[in-house]
Formats: sequence, structure tokens, C-alpha cells
Amino acid sequence: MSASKDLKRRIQTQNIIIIALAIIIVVLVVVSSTAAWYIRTKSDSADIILSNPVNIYITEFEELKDGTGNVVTGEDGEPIKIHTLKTDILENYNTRVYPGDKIKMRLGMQIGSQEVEASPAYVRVKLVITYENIINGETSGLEILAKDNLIEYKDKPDEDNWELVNFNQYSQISNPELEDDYWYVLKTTNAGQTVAKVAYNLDTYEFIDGYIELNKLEITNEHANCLFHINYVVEAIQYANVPDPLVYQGYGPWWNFALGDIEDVGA
Amino acid sequence: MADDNNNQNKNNQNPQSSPKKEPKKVIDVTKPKSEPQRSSIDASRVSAHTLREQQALEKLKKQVGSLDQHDNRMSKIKTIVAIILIIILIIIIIAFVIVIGRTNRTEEENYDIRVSMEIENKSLLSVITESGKEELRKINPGDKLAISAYVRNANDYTGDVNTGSINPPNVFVRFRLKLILDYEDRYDILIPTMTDNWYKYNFEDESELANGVTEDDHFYYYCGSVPYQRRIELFSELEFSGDAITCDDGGKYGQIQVVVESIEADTNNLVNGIWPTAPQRWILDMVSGKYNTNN
Repeated sequence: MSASKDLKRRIQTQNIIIIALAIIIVVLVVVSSTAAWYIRTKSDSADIILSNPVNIYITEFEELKDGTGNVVTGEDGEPIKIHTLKTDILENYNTRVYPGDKIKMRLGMQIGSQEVEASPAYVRVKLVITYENIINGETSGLEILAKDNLIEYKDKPDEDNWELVNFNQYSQISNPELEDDYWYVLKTTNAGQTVAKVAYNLDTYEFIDGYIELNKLEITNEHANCLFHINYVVEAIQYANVPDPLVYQGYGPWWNFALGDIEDVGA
Repeated sequence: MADDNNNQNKNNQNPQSSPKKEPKKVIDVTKPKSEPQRSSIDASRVSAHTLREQQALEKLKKQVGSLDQHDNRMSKIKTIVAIILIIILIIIIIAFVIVIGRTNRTEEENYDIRVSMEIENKSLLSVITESGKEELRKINPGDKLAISAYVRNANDYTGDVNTGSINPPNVFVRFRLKLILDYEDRYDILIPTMTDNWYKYNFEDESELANGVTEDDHFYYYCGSVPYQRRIELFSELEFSGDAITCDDGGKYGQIQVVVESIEADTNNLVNGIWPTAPQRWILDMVSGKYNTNN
């Protein structure tokens, strides 16, 4: 029994020695291999901060009224409008509509918010209609994009503030099959020239205060018994490094760089 | 055994049959004086049982013996393994000592790799506010800033002085440019303006080669070698890509980081894989002499 115990103790000692040797060999191999190359490394760094993103929110607005229900006006005599941030326009509007029916809209937008500051930006807006078939009382789930002229503005956006532009007009030269892509661009006048207006953080703007209707000439049997979605789309793009979309038409991201980018402006 | 019992019974019955006659005393010296009391166990069965125990004991002894033999064999094997490992260790140590010995002898001549680099015009990244306070300038997507960086084959960025007879080797150089944004390494945002002397991974170039690398390591490789004391430009301008910066990135702090690596300007180093992620096209062009690697 004593001999057997000695044998076991010897095997344990051998195990420890083998493991220790293996570890030493691995370490030496790693050290020697990494020491095989002579590479000198240097680095330098500099801190930066990126500008705020562009944030834009859709709003619905109404006139500010006093306690007696009278509309409050500003110094210019115009009613003061209160914008409410919305995530769903016409949220309570769920009525069967017939060609020629009018839909009241009071839509606007706000750049940035108190919480999330936005960088200065150009703004463009459009209304888009999509529709989906109702089959056996259930919607198909497949939304079809209607043509732009399905919407008829009975009360157009203020033409002093909004310029209607087809942003595909230059791309259509090389690709005539492209559909029109009309947007209203927020604008102003500078030395007699129409330029895109730069919107700043917390600025609010009205887009439409009036009625739209489904164009009687454009609506067909294809649209009958369909569920229509009215989509209010607002887009903002940073002012810095982007060519003015009204002055340099065809240049920049909104024009799909049809004629070039900012470095090509005036070239 | 049965005959013995009969005899004993006969002997025990004799005094009773003739009580008057004193029996003749017969002493059987072959038997013990006091007979031990016999048990009623069947002796034949006891004997068989003992036999089985003995057999089991023998079997156990054999097993123990074989275990000892196995342990002995293992012990011998482990002794041999340990001896082999010791030999390997000795060989590695000898090789290591030889390599270090050679290095010590040749370092002054060939392994004095020197490099220094700096990002210049960092002041463009900050502005002075109306209150006179310096703060970081907000970078817009698409901004281009004349921030440049240079590397010099010298320990001192402005050039080594009092070099004496020391003659460090030419070096091959590569550098990596990244923007660390929110603890994430971004290689897509910074677009450097640089000369044609820099080569970067090109998928098409690599796919044409049998051993082309498959992944961009984001390094820019200098096409040629840099002699001692010479300074070369890494880039002269940085553009912050308008396509790569998203609204989610807006407002975040970041850090531009430039890392330069240099090795001795020996094309054998490249062939031997000192930079294993380097584009094979660049390595082939360097080795083939397309670029001046001697200066």
C-alpha cells in the first residue's frame, strides 16, 4: 500500500511538472514570436463635436383665444396661432369620403424642441395620399401610392412662404419615366430673389389652413371602396454645406445631385 | 471423518455395557488430549466458501497488481514527456538567447526604427466665443477642414539633432485614420485629401489576386520608403462625410485619431507577413520595384 501511495504521489508531481513546463514553453513562444518584428507606433488625436441634428415636428394649430372665447391678435393684427406637436394628423377623422368632399386641415411644423436643439435647416413639405383595398370588410394591408394630382388644394399654402417645385425635373431629362415629385419649399425673398428660407430651432410655420379634396377628375373606380391615408410629410435638411434648393435648382441631395453638389455650384 | 465418529461412539458406550470391569486405558497419542468442540456446520461447504474467498482475494491481488503496472507505465510515459518538454524548453531558451544576442549586436545598425507624427492645425477645431472662451467648433456634415498630419522618420517631429554617426534605416509607413464617436470606431466619416503616394485596400484589386486579402484594414500604405529625417504628408485636409453622418450622430463628441506604424524598409518584411492585413496589391507593387523603396 505504501508503494502504491508513493507511485500516485510521483504521478501527481509529474503532472505538475509537465503542466508547468508546457506553460513556460507557451509563454516563451508567444514572447519570442512577438519580439520577432520591430514596429514603431505613434499616434495623435484631436477632439471634435458634431453639430446638432436637424429635427422637425409636425403640428396642428389653432387660434389663441382669451377667456371669453375671443381670438387674440398680435401686434400685426393677425390672430396668434398655437401649434401643438402631433404624431397623427386628423386622428379623429374617420369618415366616408366621396369625390369632391372637402377635408379641413390646419397643418404646420416646428423646428427642434426645447429638449432637442436642431441645427438651421431648409424645409420642404408635401401631402401624399396612399390607399388600400377593402376586401370583405378587411383592408388588404398593401398601400398604393396615389399620384400627386389626386389631391387638390382648395386653399393653397401661402404663396408668399411656399414655393411648389418638382424635384425630379432635372432627373427626368435623363430618365423621362420618372414621376413628378412635387414639394412645397419654405421660401423668402432676398434682394428681390426668391431663396429657400433657413429655419432655426423652435421656429414654427403654417403650411395649410384650409381645405383639400380628392380631385374628381383623377379619382376612378380603382379608388372606390378603398381606405385612403393622407400623409403629411415634412423634411428638413441642414443649411450648412447644402446648396440653396431654390437658387441652385438641380444641385444637392434634394435634387438627387442631378446637376452636382455644392462644389459644382456656379462652376 | 464418519469412521472416526463411529469409533468414538463405540468407545463411549463400552464403560456403560461393563461397569464392573475397569476398562483398559488406551491413549491415542495421535489425537489431542482435549478434543475441541465440533460445530454443526458442514465442513465441506465451509471449505468451498473459503476457496471462493481465496479466489476473490487472488483476483483482487491481480487487479491491484495490474493497476500498479498501469500507474508505473503512466509514470514512465510522463517522465519521457517531461524530458521531451525540458529538451524543447532548452532549445527555445537557446534560440531566444541567440536571437537576443544577434539583436543586441545589430540594433544600432538596422533596428533603430524611428518615427514621429503630429496632427497640425488643430486650432481649426475650436472657436473663440464672444466672451473670449475657447470651445469646440460644431462640425456639420460635409465640412472640410484644412487639418493636416505629417510623419517623420526621426524621434523628434522637428527632426533629430546631434545625430553623429548614427544612421537609422529607411522605413515603410502606414497610418490609420478614425473618428471615435460615442466609444465606437468609425472609419467611414473622415475622408482625407492626400497625394497618390498612399495606397488603400481596394476590393477589385484584391479579388484579382489569388492570395488577396478579403477585408479592409482601414490603413493607408505609403508607396515607397521614407529615409531618415525626411518628413512626408499623411493628408492635407479632412472632410466629414455628409453621407456617413446621420441624425443619430448629431450633437455627439468625438475624437479624431491618427495612428502611424513604421517598420524597417526591407521588402522581405512585407513578404514575411509583418503586416498580415496589408493589401497584396500594394505588397506586390512594393516588392516588384514599382515604387522606390531604396531612396
